[in-house]
Amino acid sequence: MSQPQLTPSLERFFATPAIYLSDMNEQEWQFELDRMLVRSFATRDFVNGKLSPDDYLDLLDETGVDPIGATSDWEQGISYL
Amino acid sequence: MGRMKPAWYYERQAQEAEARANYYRNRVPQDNTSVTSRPTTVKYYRSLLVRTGTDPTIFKVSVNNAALALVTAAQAGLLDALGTTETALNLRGSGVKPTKIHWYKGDASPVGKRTAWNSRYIRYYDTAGSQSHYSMPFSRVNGAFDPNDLKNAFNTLFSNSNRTTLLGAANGRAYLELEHVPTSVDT
Repeated sequence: MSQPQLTPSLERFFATPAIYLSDMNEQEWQFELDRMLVRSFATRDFVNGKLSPDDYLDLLDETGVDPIGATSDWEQGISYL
Repeated sequence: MGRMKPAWYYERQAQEAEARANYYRNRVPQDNTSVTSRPTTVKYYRSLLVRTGTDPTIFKVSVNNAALALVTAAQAGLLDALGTTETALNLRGSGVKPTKIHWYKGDASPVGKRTAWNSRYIRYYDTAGSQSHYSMPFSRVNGAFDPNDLKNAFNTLFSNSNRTTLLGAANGRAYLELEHVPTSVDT
């Protein structure tokens, strides 16, 4: 999480990166990376207007991001990357 | 998606929003600061979506040297030089946004920080060295490839010992941003 600021790219702003935690083993980390990629595809579609906000938030929920927490952070200008 | 929040929460939100607006409205830039660009190296990027005939179109990209020191051009699937029959287009001005990897090294003991408008955020990135956040274009060096190949290459890049180097022991973050192509280039 970085200092709230005005970011140039919308997709970069909505990025939900895979976060490495110290207690993860290699398999868990690969699983996180796979879920991150699903979100990356969805974020591109969302920014391009091909995915509705509701569907996007549902997808975030299914891939391990708290959609309410995320929207609340985005409202305050906080980006996850 | 309703979640009840007390009234003070929204009052606080409004205060912070106002303070943030005031901060950006009133801040004064410093005078006579030196301007530096981060040094870059020219590499060649094979497009995921744009084709010249049947081959991927090649674009000339400038890659941050600090990022290249951590991930080599070969690992990121970028070409050092063009082949004899190949030509490259300029990425700048083309409207194409290349596939990019973003990452930062995590700080094992994150620090809670206060913004200029008195809200709180947590800094998870490592501040050692002159640069914390890195990004660079990401592709494959040869042959036809699809997003799944990029995914596999990405997972390999951020695995095992590489992961420790790039993301640190904890709290590191990695993200793959897929290529964007405007309709005018696509068709």
